[in-house]
Amino acid sequence: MRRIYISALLFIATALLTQWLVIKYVPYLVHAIAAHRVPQRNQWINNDKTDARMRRVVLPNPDFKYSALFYDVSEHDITITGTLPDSSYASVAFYNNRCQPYYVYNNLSPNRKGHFEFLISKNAVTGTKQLRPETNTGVIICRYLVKNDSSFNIIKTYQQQLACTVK
Amino acid sequence: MAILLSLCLMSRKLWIIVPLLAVITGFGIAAWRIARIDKSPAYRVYGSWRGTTNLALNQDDLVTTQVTLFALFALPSQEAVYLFAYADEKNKRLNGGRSYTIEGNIHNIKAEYWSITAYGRDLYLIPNQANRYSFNRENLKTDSLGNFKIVMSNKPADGNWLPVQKGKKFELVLRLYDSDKDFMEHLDKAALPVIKRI
Repeated sequence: MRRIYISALLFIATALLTQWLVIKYVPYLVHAIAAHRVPQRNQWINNDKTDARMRRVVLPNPDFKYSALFYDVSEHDITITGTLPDSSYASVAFYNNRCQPYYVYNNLSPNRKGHFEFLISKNAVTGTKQLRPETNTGVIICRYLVKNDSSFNIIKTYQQQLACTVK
Repeated sequence: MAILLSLCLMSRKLWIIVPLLAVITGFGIAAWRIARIDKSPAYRVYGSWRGTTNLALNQDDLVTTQVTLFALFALPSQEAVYLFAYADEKNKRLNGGRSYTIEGNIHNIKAEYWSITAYGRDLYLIPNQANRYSFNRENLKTDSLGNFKIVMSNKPADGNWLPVQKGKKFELVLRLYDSDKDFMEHLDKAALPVIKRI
């Protein structure tokens, strides 16, 4: 009888621990898989038109052109620069290694400027627009709304202005 | 389960089988909890649509995992709100074998940019020859009062035609970017587009 009680307790404890671990660590795993598929670090990747062939990330928005940068600031700081258009929605979103956004910058607020520059560094630096990442690795995603076919090439020029400098 | 339990009790290798079964059960519980995204306290129903207007930058572990798996790299609610539709107004699952309309008025959706996109059950865009996946307030054809009707069908239709795949279930996402604050606070009373089976 004692053996059954111990087994039951062991069963419940292991099951609860397993489900907690799965829920806690799946986002890390998803990020690790995404990062593994994209070998470039600290480099912008500009996606072309979003259509049914885009099957890397679920629920892609076909009205957007996306640019992504998988960053790693474990050894070096990075500075990202770019310009967001005034006429249509665009944003830069910073995600940690749990795929959670921790900062979003967009062009909709009246006090925002089109040009942006962020220093991403673990260490405190004065005099620069600095973003201290929650984790050493993560993703930055730029979203540009493509209003119509004629604005497609204009957005492409904005994508090409994105830059990342490793310090 | 009863058979497995009996096997466990009979087996001399109880110390291997019990933890193994427990791990499998743990995975099952986790999958069950993750899949119940619509049971989240933050989840609300807004007519044909459902979702949360309260997706914050730092969520608890369960919500983080749900968002990671079902809407990877989503934006927080202060930036964008995602509402989902899986069924028509009679609560029947959306199916590409049937035709539907989405009817609404662009003036009733108070957001700087919004769109309605169709996705397959795999959460990817539905391939189609017209390369049409969504409608937004810029490309939607409306009457002079701003009323619109989108036809979702596996056969071409006049006007705003959103292709879906025959015999395959699908879902819709209504995205709202930079929404009016009052509109978001009273989203339950907003006249959001209605999905009707033809």
